[in-house]
Amino acid sequence: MAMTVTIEDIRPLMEDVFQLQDLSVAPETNARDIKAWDSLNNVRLMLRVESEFGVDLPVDKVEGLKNVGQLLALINSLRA
Amino acid sequence: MKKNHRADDDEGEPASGADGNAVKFRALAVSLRNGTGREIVESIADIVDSALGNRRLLKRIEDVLARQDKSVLLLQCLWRNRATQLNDLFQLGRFMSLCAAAGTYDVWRPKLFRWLESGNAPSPRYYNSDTLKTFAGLAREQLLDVFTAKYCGAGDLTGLSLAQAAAKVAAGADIAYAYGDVLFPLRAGRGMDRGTWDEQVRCAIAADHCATDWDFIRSLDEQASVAEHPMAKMFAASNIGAERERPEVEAFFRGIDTTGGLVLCTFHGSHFGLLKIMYERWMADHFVIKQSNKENRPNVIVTGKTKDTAAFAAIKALMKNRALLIAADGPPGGQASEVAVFDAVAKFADGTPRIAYEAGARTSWLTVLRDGEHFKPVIEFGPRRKGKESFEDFRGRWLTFFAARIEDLLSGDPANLALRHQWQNYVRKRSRIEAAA
Repeated sequence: MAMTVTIEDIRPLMEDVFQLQDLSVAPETNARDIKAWDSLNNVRLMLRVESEFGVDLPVDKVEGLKNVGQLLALINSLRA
Repeated sequence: MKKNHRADDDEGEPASGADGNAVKFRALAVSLRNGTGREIVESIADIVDSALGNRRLLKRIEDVLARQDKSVLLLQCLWRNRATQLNDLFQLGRFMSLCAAAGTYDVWRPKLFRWLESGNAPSPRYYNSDTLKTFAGLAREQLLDVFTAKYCGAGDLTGLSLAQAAAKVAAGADIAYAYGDVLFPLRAGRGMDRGTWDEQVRCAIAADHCATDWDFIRSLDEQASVAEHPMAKMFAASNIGAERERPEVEAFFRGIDTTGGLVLCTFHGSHFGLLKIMYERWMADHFVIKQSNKENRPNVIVTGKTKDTAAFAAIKALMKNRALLIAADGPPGGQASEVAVFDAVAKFADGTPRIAYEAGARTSWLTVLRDGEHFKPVIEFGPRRKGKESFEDFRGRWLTFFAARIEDLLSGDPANLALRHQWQNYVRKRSRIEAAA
């Protein structure tokens, strides 16, 4: 079974995509909390998640994501 | 009716002037308050007469009368002026819609068709935007009646190819206001008289409508049988659909290499309907982007509500080596860029170059051109992101490429010139530039 993806795994991706350092990320963190998390960077983040964690994020599931916690839950459900 | 016919989409003759209209609307308001039925009808007639072909004014009259619960007066007035008012497909559709709303369609319908089929009525003219799909908001019976009214003057289309059918239907195609005056001079010296140019543009519009309506009626039949309707039967017995099935068309699409993802860009100005029909029939593993869509097909990416998700879906598709057809001249809803098309500015949404940039996919221009008695798809490859090229630089290269292809079409063979309403504003801008010069 694949290792569970955690906030610590996703933080470097977010820092890279958003061009930010020492980003504070919690399960409740969402696009409103990070100025650089605009629609374009959201697409970039999803694409990075796919390539980094080897998952194929379904478009209809991505549509409903509200925060980092839900993204992690989706990634882990796809890796299970 | 669907709102594809926007309020500013008055494609006919220009109105007689805003001030004059305001005076007439004030007179209508006064007669609605104090006048007799006859005076009200005269006020409406005064506006309707001055608003020949002007769809915006018709909508205003409708709104004014609906508020007073007097829509029936507009029906009477349109009928009295039917030779000039109901020979426009859009206005005919509105007439039917008004009849239905008043619960009197059964009364008016026989009169209407007796007149349409009497030989005394001119075939309703139709503009670029008047494909049957734009009447989809009408009840089924009225929609099919619009279908009949649009094509009944063309005679028998049985066995005719798309090019032959277009030639028979071309008489009703109307080149929207200013198109000819603005676009014909772009040919600058490449010998063709204006009459021939007009005739070929009408034929191009007719071909666009025949193909698009053929596809619409076919899809309608899949939802609820219309196959027994006489006009649907005639379309089915024509060879309009055979244009899509030609081996050359199949071979063309099968020969397109989509490795690395391929964005196929087109515009609403050539044989757009036919292109979509051919692409959806033959392009393997294809995707299309649509602004809104009631269908639930997995290969249709819908923008509109959730642009971010649409971009994600599009980029994913391209990264999986798929083909993606985008009409890249669609109305800019978000970020957009301006580029000169000839000497007027056109505005295109940044979505297309952005998707191609993020996916690192190839771009291309795809359209369908008239080829003698047939129609052939053509492709031309465009820019692809170079290494660490900035988005701004890539977008600039793509815009130059896209605008040049559009210029070729606008100034080229009029047999390929079937501009849809997306180009109305551009034509107006050029018209103003020419007037100022």
